[in-house]
Amino acid sequence: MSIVEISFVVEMMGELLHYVPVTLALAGGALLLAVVIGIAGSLMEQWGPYWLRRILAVYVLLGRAVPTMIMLYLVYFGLPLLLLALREEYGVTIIGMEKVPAFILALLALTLHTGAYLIKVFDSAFLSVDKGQLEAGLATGLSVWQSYRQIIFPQAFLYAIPLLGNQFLGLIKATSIVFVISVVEILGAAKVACAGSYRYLETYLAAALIYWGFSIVFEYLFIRAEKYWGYYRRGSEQLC
Amino acid sequence: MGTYFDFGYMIKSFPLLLSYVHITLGLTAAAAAGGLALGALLALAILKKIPVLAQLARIYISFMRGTPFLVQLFLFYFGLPELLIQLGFTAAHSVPGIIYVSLVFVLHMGGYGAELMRTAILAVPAGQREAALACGLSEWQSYRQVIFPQAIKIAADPLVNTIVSTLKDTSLVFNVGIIDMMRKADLLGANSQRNLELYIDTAIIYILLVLALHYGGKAVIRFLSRKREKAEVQEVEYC
Repeated sequence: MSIVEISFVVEMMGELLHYVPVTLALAGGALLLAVVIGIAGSLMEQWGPYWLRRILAVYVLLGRAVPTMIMLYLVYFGLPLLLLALREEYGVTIIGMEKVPAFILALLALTLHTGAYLIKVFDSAFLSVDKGQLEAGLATGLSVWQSYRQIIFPQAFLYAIPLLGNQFLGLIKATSIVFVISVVEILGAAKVACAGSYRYLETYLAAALIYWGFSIVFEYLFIRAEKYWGYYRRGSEQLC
Repeated sequence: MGTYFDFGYMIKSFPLLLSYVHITLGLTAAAAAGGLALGALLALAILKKIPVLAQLARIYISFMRGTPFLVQLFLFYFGLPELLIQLGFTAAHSVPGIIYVSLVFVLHMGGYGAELMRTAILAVPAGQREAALACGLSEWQSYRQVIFPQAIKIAADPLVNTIVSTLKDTSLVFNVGIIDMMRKADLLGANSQRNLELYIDTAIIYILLVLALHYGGKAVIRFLSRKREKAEVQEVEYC
């Protein structure tokens, strides 16, 4: 028997690939929700009242300083307790609150974690767009919303793409911790498989190779996306 | 509120969890020291374009940056002893787990550190090295006296960030049975059923550590660059 049996690694990879949708759903879902938090939070930091800006500052600080693992536990143990308190004390009931699925809790924790980072990302993205752009938009008769939608967002978004790409890659890697609250994704499945076969080296190697493949593919895709939308911008500049 | 959240218990268990902080700090320190040394070697292999070694270093860096830390932890913690035993080192199982975990941290940090140093050295304008060589400095002298001081300045801030994220990664080591704050919180929670209070404690400890490391690092960078500014006649601004 050779030290690392390649055929077993390949076989294991085939099995673990079944759990890729879970990982992608978690990472993609959390990214989408976090983008909403990021854009809303960043706009509120610019336009919101003072108290809201203070709350956001605290959220950004906590979200970035607390390790994802602890964030996951805080949501896992905290949210059901909060819902319980709401029901017993105030009589609030929400459908499905009796037993929130672990997947939702994991998604929520990853979203909370990433949202704090994305507020910072969109802050710098909006800052990268020259102030004159908004002023020119308003001067030509667009409303604030129109100038944001048609002038500021496209430029800020282009700036944010590589940063969002990094966050997404980070999220894919971060999903590997959710098995601790019994959501079975790639690493969780690998752990289960190990319990039967005791072949740790090959099984975890298979999991690592899948994650590695993801990182390489998505890194490439994000570079392509940046170029694609970048061409679009350069084209429009040439028209002027 | 009282039955849902016990504030007194949270305060009471804080010192108990804090007494395990040395594991967290020790792992972070080991990762920073060992990782930077390894990173420097890898960066050197790539920059010097040493055949075979440079390619291997690139693959290594890509792997370390492209896979989750937890997967690396499991791979090396469970896989390495298995590999060593098959290779004939039967003593591999008697090595304490913390040694393997420290090793994983060094390997992980090495990948990130190498990329950081490589880009920092490349960010120093090529003219600096050429000028140094033209002045008659040797290759080693030009690195030591001209390039490294500038590269360190460029790398300093991202380096602090990388060490901070390594610090946050230490919250994962309880998964392989190392008894740190997280494991202790888990054990205490199994008894008291008050996990939320315990994890809020660990969150507070981590927030304090992250802030201390972040601002401490910034202060050290400022102190060092001020010292350099005094020595230099005029500060050059790097764009």
